[in-house]
Order: sequence, then C-alpha cells, then structure tokens
Amino acid sequence: MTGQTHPASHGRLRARTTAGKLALGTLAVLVLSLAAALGASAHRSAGTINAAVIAPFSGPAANLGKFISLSCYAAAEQVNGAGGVLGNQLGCTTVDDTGDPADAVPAVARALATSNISFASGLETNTAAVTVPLMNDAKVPFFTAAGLPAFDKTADQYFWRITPSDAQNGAAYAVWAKLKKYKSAAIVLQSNAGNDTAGPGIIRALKSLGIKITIKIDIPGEAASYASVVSRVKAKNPAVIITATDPQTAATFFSQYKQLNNGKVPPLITATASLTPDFFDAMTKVLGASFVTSNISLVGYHVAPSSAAFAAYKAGLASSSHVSPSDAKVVSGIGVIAGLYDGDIIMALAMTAANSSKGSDFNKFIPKVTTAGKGKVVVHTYAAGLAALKAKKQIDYVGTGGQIHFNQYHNSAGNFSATAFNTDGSPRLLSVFGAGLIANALK
Amino acid sequence: MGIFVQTLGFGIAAGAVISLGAVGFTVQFGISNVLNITYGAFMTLAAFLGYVLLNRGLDVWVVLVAVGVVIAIASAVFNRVFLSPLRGRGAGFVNLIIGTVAAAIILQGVIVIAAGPSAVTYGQQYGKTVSGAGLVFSLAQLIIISITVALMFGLHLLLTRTKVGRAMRATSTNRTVARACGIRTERIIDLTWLLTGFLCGAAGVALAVTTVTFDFSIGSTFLIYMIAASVLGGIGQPYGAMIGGLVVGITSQLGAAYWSPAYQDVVAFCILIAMLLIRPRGLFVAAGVNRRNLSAT
Amino acid sequence: MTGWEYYAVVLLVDFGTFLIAAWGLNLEFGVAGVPNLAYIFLVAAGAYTYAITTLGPSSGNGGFQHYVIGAHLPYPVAILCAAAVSAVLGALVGITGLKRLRPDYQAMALLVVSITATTLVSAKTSLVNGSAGLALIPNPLHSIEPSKRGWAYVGMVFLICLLVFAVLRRFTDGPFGRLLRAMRDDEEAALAIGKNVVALRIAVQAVGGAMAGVSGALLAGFLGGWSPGAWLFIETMALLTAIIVGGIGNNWGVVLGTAIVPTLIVQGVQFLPDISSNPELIPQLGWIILGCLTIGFLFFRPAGVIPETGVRRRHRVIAEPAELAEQPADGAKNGASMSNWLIAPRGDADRRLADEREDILVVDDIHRDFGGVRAVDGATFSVQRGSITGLIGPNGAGKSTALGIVSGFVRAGRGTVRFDGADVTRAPNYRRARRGLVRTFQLSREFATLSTLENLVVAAPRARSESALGVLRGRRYWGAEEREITQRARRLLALFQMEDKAAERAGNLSGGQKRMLEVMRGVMTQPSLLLLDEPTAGLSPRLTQRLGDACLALREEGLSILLVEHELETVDRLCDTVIVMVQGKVFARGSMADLRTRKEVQEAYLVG
Repeated sequence: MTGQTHPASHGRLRARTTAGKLALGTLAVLVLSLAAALGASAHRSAGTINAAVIAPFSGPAANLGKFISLSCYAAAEQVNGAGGVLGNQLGCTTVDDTGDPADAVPAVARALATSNISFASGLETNTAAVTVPLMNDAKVPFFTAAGLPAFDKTADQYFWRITPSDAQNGAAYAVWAKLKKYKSAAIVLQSNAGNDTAGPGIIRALKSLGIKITIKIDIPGEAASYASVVSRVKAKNPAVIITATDPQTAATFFSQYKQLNNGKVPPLITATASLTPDFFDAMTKVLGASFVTSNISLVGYHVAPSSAAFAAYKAGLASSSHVSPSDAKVVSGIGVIAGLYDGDIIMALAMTAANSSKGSDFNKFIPKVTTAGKGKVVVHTYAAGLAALKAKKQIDYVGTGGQIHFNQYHNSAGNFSATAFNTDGSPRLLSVFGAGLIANALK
Repeated sequence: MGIFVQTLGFGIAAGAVISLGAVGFTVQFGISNVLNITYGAFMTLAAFLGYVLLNRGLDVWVVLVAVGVVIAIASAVFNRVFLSPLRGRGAGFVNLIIGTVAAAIILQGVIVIAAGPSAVTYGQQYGKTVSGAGLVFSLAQLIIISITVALMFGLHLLLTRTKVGRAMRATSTNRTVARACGIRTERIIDLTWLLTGFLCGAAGVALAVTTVTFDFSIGSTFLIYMIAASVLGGIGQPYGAMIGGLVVGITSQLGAAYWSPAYQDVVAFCILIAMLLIRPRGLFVAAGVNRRNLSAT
Repeated sequence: MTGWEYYAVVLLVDFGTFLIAAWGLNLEFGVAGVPNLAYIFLVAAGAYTYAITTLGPSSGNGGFQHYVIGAHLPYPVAILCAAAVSAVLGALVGITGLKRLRPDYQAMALLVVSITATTLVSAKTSLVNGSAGLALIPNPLHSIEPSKRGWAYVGMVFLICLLVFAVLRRFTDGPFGRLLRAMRDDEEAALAIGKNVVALRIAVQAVGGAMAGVSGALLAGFLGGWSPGAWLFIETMALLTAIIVGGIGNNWGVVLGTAIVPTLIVQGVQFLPDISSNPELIPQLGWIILGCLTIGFLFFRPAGVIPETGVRRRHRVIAEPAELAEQPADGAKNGASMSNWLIAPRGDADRRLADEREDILVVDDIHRDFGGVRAVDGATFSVQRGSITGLIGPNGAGKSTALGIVSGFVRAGRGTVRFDGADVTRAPNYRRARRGLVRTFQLSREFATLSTLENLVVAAPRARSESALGVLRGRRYWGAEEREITQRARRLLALFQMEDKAAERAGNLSGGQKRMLEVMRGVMTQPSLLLLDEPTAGLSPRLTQRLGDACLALREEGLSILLVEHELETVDRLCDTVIVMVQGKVFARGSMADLRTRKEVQEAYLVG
C-alpha cells in the first residue's frame, strides 16, 4: 500500500481558474443569506408581543419542545381571546435549542436579535445552564421547566419557576412509594441530565422514609441489551421499581425484565414526563395493557384538573390551531407543561399591571399579581385578571397548580400528584400530596 | 458462579446480534477495502423499512428478504455512483472515510425528516424463553444465533471454496492483477456490494426486531460494536466477526454485571482500541482469509 | 446592547473559537496528515479544565454540581491550564499512532476514543457532573460591565486568534511545515531519512491539542455552561468540513471555511422560511447541506477554495538564488570533487582510523520468513568502508529483504546487523538513518507535494528547525543553517544535473527524475553507508551514466554504498566488490571480473 494520496495534491492545476468563480459563489451565498436574515426579521408584524419558547424542537428530545410550545399556544389563545396584552396580540416564537448548549446560545441570541421577545418559557434541563444566564442578562423574564438544583437558590432576577426542582421530583417518587406502603424499592435511572440531579433526591427521601433501597443503578440509554442489569435488579426482589428513562430504553429494559423474570415485572413508579403516547404505546406493546394501566404510576408536579384555571388551559389548547386534539389530550396530563401555561398567563398579567411589555418594567409585577393578600381579587384566567386590573384592583392569579408562593429565589413550591394511564393512554389522577411531605422527606 | 454463567449467556445473546451485523460489515470492509461508515445508516434505513412492512402484516421472513434486497441494490448503487468514483479521483483512505461519514449524515438526516426523531416499538417479539444449565435464551435469540452461525459458515465457504469467492479475495488484494488474470473485477465488486448490502439490510431488520424498540441512531450505535467485532476478529473474516461479536457482547455484559452498566460500552471500546494498538490484524490472523498490509505504507 | 448586536457577538465569538479549533485540526490533519477524529474531545477537555479551574470548590453554590479540583484560579492561568491539559491529552491520543496503522484504522481508533470519552464523562458524574454538565462557569471578563462585555469578549477572542496564528505559522509554514508535509506525503520515506515520525506526530498532536484547549476554554467561558451534548463526535465532522471546504493545509483557507460552514450555513438555514410543519426539516437540512458540501468538495475540489500554498511561493521563502552565488570561503575544499560539500567531511586522520576499524557493515546470519516462505535464510556479508559493494542475484533471492533488514524496515527473524562498530539489530529504522545507514526504495517514494529542492532540504539531518521548540525560536535561530542546507542541496542538484527541476513539484517529475531524487535525498542525509535498491531500474542510459558518475564522486568523498542491482553493466562499472545472493543465502563474493570466471555463479544466476 502506498501512503494516502493527500487532497492537497489534487486540483491545484485548476485552482487558479476556478478559485475566482468559487470566491464569487461564496460571496453570493453570503449576500443571499444576509438578505434572507434581514427579510426574516422585517416581516415580523407590528402589534405583536412575542413569547419565546426555548426548547429542543429537533433531535431525540424534540417531543419535549413540541409539548412545551403547546402551553404557549394555549396561553396565547386565552390572552388574545380576551383582547390581547396592552392592545397587542400575543404570539409564540419557537427557538430550537437542540439540547446542545453550544448550539443553544447562538439560537437564543438569534431569537433575541430577530424577534422582539418580551418573555420566554421552556429553557429545559439540557441547556438551562447556558440559556438562563443569557436571558437574565438580556433582561427578559422567563419561566423555566428545568429542574436543575442550581436554580434552587438563584440570584437571577428574571428567573421564575413554579415547577419543582429535580431534587423535589426525586423525593416525590419516594413519598409516593411510602404512601403506597412499599417496603423496598429499586432505582433504575437512565444516565442523563435530569436524572443525574434527581437521583440524590430519591435516595435521600427513601432513606428518611425508611424504605429499603435494594439497588440503585444507572443505565445507559438505548442499549441493545440490559440483560445483566435486569438480572441484578430482579435478584434483589424489589417491591417497586422507581425508574426514569426514555420510552425506547424503558421498552427494551422491561421487555427483558419480563423475559428473564418469568413474565413478571414489579410495579413501576416513573415521572409524569412519561405521560406520552410514545411511552404508553411502547410499554403497552411490551408489557401489556393491563400492566400499564394498573401497575405504572407517574409522579410529578400536580395540576388540579377541576380548577377554573385548568379549564381555561384546556379551552386554550382546544381552540388553538397549533394544537392537535390528540396532543391536547396528552399534554393536559403533564403538570410541568400546565405550569408553563400559568407562567405565560402570569407574564401577560404582569405586563398589563405594569402597563409595559419591557422586561425590566414588568418583571417586578410578577410576584405582585400572584401573591395572596387581603383585598386582592383572586383570578383564574387572563380575562378575569384583565378585568380586575382595569378596575384598578390588585389581583392574585391562582393557576392550574393552585396558589403560588414565590420565595426569595423566585421558586414556588407546588403540590405533587400520582397519575395512572387509562386504557386509551389518557391520565387518571390517583392522589395529590402536598409540598410539605416532600420537604419533610428531604430533611 | 451462577451469575457468571448467566451473564455469559446474556453476552452470547447480545453478541450474536452484533455478530449478525458484523459478518456483512467485515466482508464488505475486507473486500472493498473501504471503512464504510454509511453501513450504519443503511442499517437504520433497513430497520425503518422493516418496521413499515411488518406493520403491514407481512411475515417476518419475507420482510427480512425484501428489505435485504432493497438495501443490497442501494449499497451497490452507492458504491457505483459514489465510493468507486471518489476513489477513482484519488481520494485516500481518510478522505474515503470522511466521504462515507458525510453520506451517513445525509442519509440519517433524510430518515429523521421522513420518520421523525422518536423511537418506534415493535412490541414483544421475544417469544418463549428456553433455559438450561443456567443460561436463558429467547426463541428469537436462538434463531439469530443460528442464522449468524449459518451465515458465517456460508460466507467462509463462499470466500474460500468457490470461484466467485476467490475472485472476490483476489480483487480485494490487487485489482489490477486480478483483472490481468481475467477476473471481471467490476462485476465482482458489484456482487460484493450486493451481497454485503443484503446482509446489512437483513441484519438491520433482525436487530430492530430483537432490541424491540429503536430510533434513527440504531445503525450508528451498532456500527461501533460491529467495527469492534470486526477488528477483534480480523477484518474480512466472517468467523472472526462472529467471535469478535461474542467477545464484545460478553465483555459488555460482564462489565454491566460486575462493574456498572454505565460503563458497559467503555469496556468493549477499550478492548477495541487496545487491539488496534497491539494487534490490528485481529486475534486470528494466522488463518486469515484476507491478509493485508495494515501498516501506514 | 441590542439583540442584533448580541447575536453578532455570539456569532463572532463562535467564529473565533471555531477558527482556533479548526486551525489546530488543520495542523494535525491538513498539514501533518493525522486523521484526528477525536479532536472535539480535546476541545471539550479544554472547556472542562477551564471550568473546574475557575469555579470554586464543588461544595460551593449549595453543592448542586459535582466536579473535581475547583481551584478558583485566575482566568489567564485557567486558559493556560486548559491548553496544557488538552496538549497532554492530545499527545496521549497520539499514542494511537505508535503502531503505524493504515490511516483509516487510525481514524477508526480515534473515532472510538472520542465516543468512549463521551460515554465515560457522561457516566462518571463525580468528574465533571456527568451528562448534566457544568453550569455557572465564570466569564473571564465578568468584571467588565455587561453592556460592554460582549464586544470585549469578541476583542479578546480575536486577539487570542492573532496570537495563536503567530505561533501556528511557525509550525505550518517554513521548515517545520515542510517536514510535516513530507511526513504526510510519505511516512516510510520520512523514516528512511531519519525522521522520528512518531515523535513528530505526538508533538503535532500536542500543539493541535493545546489549540483545542484554548478554543474550548474560550467557548466555555463565554457560554457559561458545558456538557457532553456540546461535544458529540459529529462536531469533529463540522470542523473537518470547514477545513475541506476552505482549503486543506492552508490557514487562510480554514478562515474562509470557518466563515462559510458554521456561520453561514448552520446559522443561515435557520433563517429559511419554515415551509413545512416538520420541525426536523430545518435543523436536519443544516446537516444535510454540510454532508453535501463535504462530498461535493471531495469530488470536485479536494484542495478546497484556497488550496495549500504552492511550491513556487514557498520557494521564495527557502532561499534566494543570489545567496547561491557565494562560494564557500574555505579554500581547502576548492579543487576537490564537487561532492566535498555533499556528505559529512571526514578528516584524513579519521580515514586512517577507519582503515583499522572493522568493515562499515557486518551482517551475520540474518533470517526472515514471510508466511512460511524463507526470503532470507542465513545471509552473512559485509561492506568495506569507502567501497561500492554490489548485491546481485536472481529474482526472489532475498536481496531487497536483506536490504530491508539492514535498514531496519524489515525485522530480522534471527541474526545481527553491525553498523559502524555498533550492533543496530534492534535499533528502529529512523535511528539507523540518523547514524548514517540510509536506504532508498525500489519504487521511488518522493514527497509528492514538496518541490525537488524541498525534498532535499527536508532530508538534512539534525536541523535546528526540526524540533518544535527550535522552530518556535524563529528564523533568527534556524535561518543561517537553512541557507547552508539549501546551498548544499543546490550543489547536489548540480552534481546530478537537475538544477532546472529545483522548483518542480516532486509528484510531477518523470520516473527517472524521481529515481535520481530518491538517491539525492539519501545523500542529503549525510550518510556513511548508502543502501541503493535498484536505483537504475527504468533509467535511460544517459541518466544511468549520470547516476554512476555521481556515485563514484561520492565514493571519493568516503561514502560507502551497498547497491542492489540487476544491470550487470552498471555493477561492473561501479562496484569494487560484488555479493551474489541465491535463495536467501550468500552464494559467492568477489570482484565482478572474478565472479565472471566462476561457472557455478553463472549457473546459479541464470538458473535461479
């Protein structure tokens, strides 16, 4: 074999003749894309207040982005149905952060440049570390879906979170296991950003609640075989398995569990983020419908389906042209998404109260429109809030998850619930438990 | 001890799946002399095609063959319109790899646009389990193991005992000399790509069925295992791929059982890197079907 | 700062950091030919190092993330640490080049290194916080007020780009770049002229690694976060695409490629109107365009938009013809043969001493099997100092293998090789070449992208510009020596009557000229024993004559030559002693006239 022929040794003869053409071509591409860029920014219509949905819309986590964006569309329906914000329509701009921090920063910067963004939602776990400071520096208020404990005590002024941190989420699994009187639990988590931070919460809470941890094991996602892990887990005979994985990993893992354990799989506790058709379908195919509807409970941030705020949220989902009925059904069961809807409504109310769409003006009105107080009008919808504000009254927005109490770090502790699947994959509420139980378990 | 034997069984089952994919890969690499990264993307394509056809209610064996034929033709065309001309323009080994990576990126991108980024699930395909002597296998796994063994023998015989096989090896060793000896090298090369493309397609379907659920990354993920298996067994050797696949499967399952599953791939990959540094011709070079100079020159 | 301004800042910082990384990878792959598919791992290592050296202890901030070190170092120190760590890792990764694998196997090994590193870092949460990655990484300019920080960062990144470029040029241009390109063009030939290819490659990967480290540190400092999602293997492909599009081996081409690929295309597609409801279309389109660009350039313009600097332009840097007019001041050398300057001068005392010492080459009972075939089977012979010794024999007699064993390119199964009084049986080939035992190849192995003159200059032994540290000291350190070497090379060209081809790309030379170049390059290393493997094969009678004259002239200077040859006429003319090999053994030995009279030799030669 001779050494590799190096590319530099080819094409040089033609270099002089074609170099000019290529340079010209490159220039043309440059000019065209610049023009396209300017064009894209020019056609933004005036009279719109833009809410950015910063989330992964491509790649393996694309579904998450889609679901998060639905909350914004629902909120926009509600806001625009009541006449808009400050005389403007509320619009949703999706920003694809791809789940990669290095790509997320240019994507968010581009959005800040090309769309006049008044507030944002999303900013989930994979990229929050870089998008949160960026938005905070740009003085754009935002509600995050990221559970990173980094933000449990943040000093960022434009940061707001009414959904739980990962540590609380982890503890919630344990509390539910305690409520169900399981004596032992195995923890099987796919190693990923959210689970790495939830894991310690689960362990701490299980220990303090006196549930025996038979095994805690992190598995890589999407492997072809989990047989060895399965045999390790089943050897410990856990009463329940606390697990959080993507649907693909879950399907492979539990189909092998079933195969190696004579068709038996212990009850599963997993995250409400798994209330998706992907997860439901995969697990139904692998474990059977009866197992999925009776033995899987999904634990997470609670929203009250019977509340007036939730009714408005559902109405928003139903009337938005961006939301398909099947998606609406799925998403209405995931608490975190409803929490982001509340966030969008709160933003619109705060803008109205501040009479400004500038983040630095209305940011401090966010707690003002959500804190309970004497003489305040309790509202559950944007329309009601708008009316009260117009009547020069102070308001207290009580959202889909109930009363909001922001602490000094702009976090609000909500309730948790356990849900199960109905036979059609829709959620069925099993139980609600308060933030107090979680806090105790984490002590 | 019981756990060890059991883990061994898991390793064999996992390894058989890897071997199945690696048998075609190693023969293609060995004969075409191109490290074809696109092989993984073709497998992904096969997995999705198989999924669509199986959902139409076709028999699994029919699907296996049908998808195999499609990928076989696609592979041969891929070589004809892409790799072969690229090599003809003097592209070196590394540029060929870069070219196949680029092609894999394009193909994967198209698959994601068409099929979406989410995983799809076949459902429970495992069938009954068969156990004995501490080992547990599912019917599907046993079928895969038998197919792999049969393929391995078949390919080995094809390459060593038949005229076509010898022509393939001759072509891979020195195309010019082979042509001078009256071998119609163009046709032999097409045949190689058709054959290995078929194996790629069939393996793609089989992989997807046995792992129950998959997404667009299944091919690229498996490609690494297949490369590891092929290098361990020696490039171009069908039974080498089989043994290499088993080594990869068993070490990763042992890693998961005795260390941490998070590192199960790391063990296999480290073995691969070590092999490349110490014995790049593979474990079984002496009886090599295809002996080649792997040094930089 | 407006949104547009901030977007511009982000793009410019991205451009600058990407550029530093692309330059580094271009040094490794474009100039030195190392297919480092693990490059993005080195960028990541820099980012992580910067993060864990600038962040305080892991327990700070409520202990929400776990990592090692947490040293709270000053920012410049942290960036240097990042460069150092990536340089060390780069050198370690370079170990994959120890076993001189075929480039695609090497690429494969490096690809697996990259993937393994991602898996390990994601799985080991206590190291750098696993897949969640690190947050709150301090911005090196955080003391500057936020409104000015963005542009200040751009300024800093571009300043560092300039600094990096200043250093990089010393490696990619001039004598060191020439050496790297020689290694890239033909590694085997580089070894034959005594270049320690492995050490060179590791040095290059350390330098490239350091650049990756700087790039990663600057990126992490700007982003404020870093996680495994940011350095998947595919990112190396983006860098490679930029290099291939812009111009492989050309620093300015890389600048252009960096402007086109990540900035224009990856960002540009985001501005395309969203014509379909498929959210995957636009992001995937970016990758598909990247793939198509790569393939298009590989096919139609593998040298890129701005190809590597041409031979002629490089020549302007090597030496001005004016300098060649100067004659050596040393009068003693005048009047002697032209070759006076060509090989290492040996004093009379030295020569007398030489006569008392043993033969320059003593080969004892060497063996070599190739898969059961005995190529060399117990050959024993020696070469006298200052002689031209011929090695002849029928095809398959093991002559070339014997030459390979002597030069260290073929491992001896048994037996010893003594050169210049020392046992070199176990010495690596390039070390033998450095000692003065230099070979040429049967099939010419020129450094195709270098000029004829460069092919010679690069072969000069122990040049100051050959070490990474030496070349960093600049032209003042190596310039004078380079001029001397160039003069010697010109003289050699004159001896072989090839002055007019000095600036010709070696790849474009005719077969005969390549053969001459091969011999000249061997001589350029100042050997004491030159092993010529069928140097006249395919030469015209005129060139054969010319080569013979040159050999005789060189022998006058004390050079010993071992010549494997088929053309008995040439052997007759040049050789003092002739060794006949048959079936892997030495069959006879003597002067050509002597051998002609021996019947058994004639028979063996004709029959064998």
